[in-house]
Amino acid sequence: MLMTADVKEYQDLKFFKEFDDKTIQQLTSIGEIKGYQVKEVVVSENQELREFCVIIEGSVLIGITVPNKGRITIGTIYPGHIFSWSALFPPHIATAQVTANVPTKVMAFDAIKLQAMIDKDPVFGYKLMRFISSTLSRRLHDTRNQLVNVVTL
Amino acid sequence: MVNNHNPYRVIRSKLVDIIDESPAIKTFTMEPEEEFSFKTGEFIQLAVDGYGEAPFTPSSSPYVKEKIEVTIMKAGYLTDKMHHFKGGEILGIRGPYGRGYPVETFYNQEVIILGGGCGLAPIRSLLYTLIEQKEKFQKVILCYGSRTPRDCIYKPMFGDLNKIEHFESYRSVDVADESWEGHVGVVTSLLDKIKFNLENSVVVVCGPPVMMKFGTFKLLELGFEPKNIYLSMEKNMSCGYGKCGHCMLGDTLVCKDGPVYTYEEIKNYDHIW
Repeated sequence: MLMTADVKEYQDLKFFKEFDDKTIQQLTSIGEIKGYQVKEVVVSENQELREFCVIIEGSVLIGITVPNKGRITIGTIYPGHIFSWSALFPPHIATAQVTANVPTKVMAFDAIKLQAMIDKDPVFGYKLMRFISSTLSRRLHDTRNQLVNVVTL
Repeated sequence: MVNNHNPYRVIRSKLVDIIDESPAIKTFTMEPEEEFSFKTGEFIQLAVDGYGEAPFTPSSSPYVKEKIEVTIMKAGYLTDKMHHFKGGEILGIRGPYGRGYPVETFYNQEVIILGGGCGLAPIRSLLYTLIEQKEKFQKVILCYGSRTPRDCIYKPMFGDLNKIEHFESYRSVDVADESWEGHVGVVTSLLDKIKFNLENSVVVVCGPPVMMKFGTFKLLELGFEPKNIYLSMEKNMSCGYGKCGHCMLGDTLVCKDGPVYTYEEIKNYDHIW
């Protein structure tokens, strides 16, 4: 199979490494590249989400609002990592705010089209869910630690 | 390293310099009245007349014999007194004690260092050693986290490290301010952005217990073997030579068998954090 420029461009990113070239091509065909400036809010906490996102370049800050403490940054994520995963799970509401830390490019996937890919290809769906589970586990872990750090500051 | 004096004898040392590293941390430079040798990671007992003594791991280079530096966070009776010193005071040091970093076993590998808060103090001493022998390591990567940008210690060191071939340094803060444009989050999350060879790396971890605990778990999750994770355990060390038992960790004594352990050596003990 011929390798397209798209596949070559993305296959070294952690998220895309999970998939074969054909799947990466399918993903990039439904993905849309979006750019954000420094401090631009990519996702607001509690907003309804329609897109699942992978960082292609730059980095974003994940933050949550804690009563009496204001906004707390939970972590910084880099190319190959995902956010806006709630777009795939009811009630499709963002659990955190995502802000560009530097000029950042993301690939945004329409959640309905991505869900259709999952339904059509359960192996892809399994790999995607495994990646999301691993990310959520790590983010839960980091969130707990960061809250301990910040709340005791 | 064989010491050239009796480690149980207190050596008078003059405080010759004090550097404000952060609002709560200062580095104290002392000139012992006789040459003082230590191996990186070993600790000393520092005595303040009328206030008692406490264990500290030197933050200076083991290759410098005529001066010794300790970096101290204001955290109690003795350290509070020290933070009021102006210079010229006479202190007592004894030691060195314990088991430091087995630098020779790091040869030909990548050395990843995770430090948090004042835990960068013993790491700075280790870094001086690694720099001195830099051709013996594949790569040295320092990841350091502080609560805020103001709390970061040894700030100029990070730029200097990045100028050395095969050395990299990264910083993280828990809470950013307007001046900060870098990584925000727990220090271990820096590991998501760095490239390292898992099969040929050792990791050194030193920082607050909560960071040591979750840092170790993250390293295990990434696939590091317990025998390749080196932890600097700072327990309540008192006598310094394994007699008083204050610093028991499992069936070991941190002052004698530590303070540097591999996670493999202590993972089955209770309450290690």
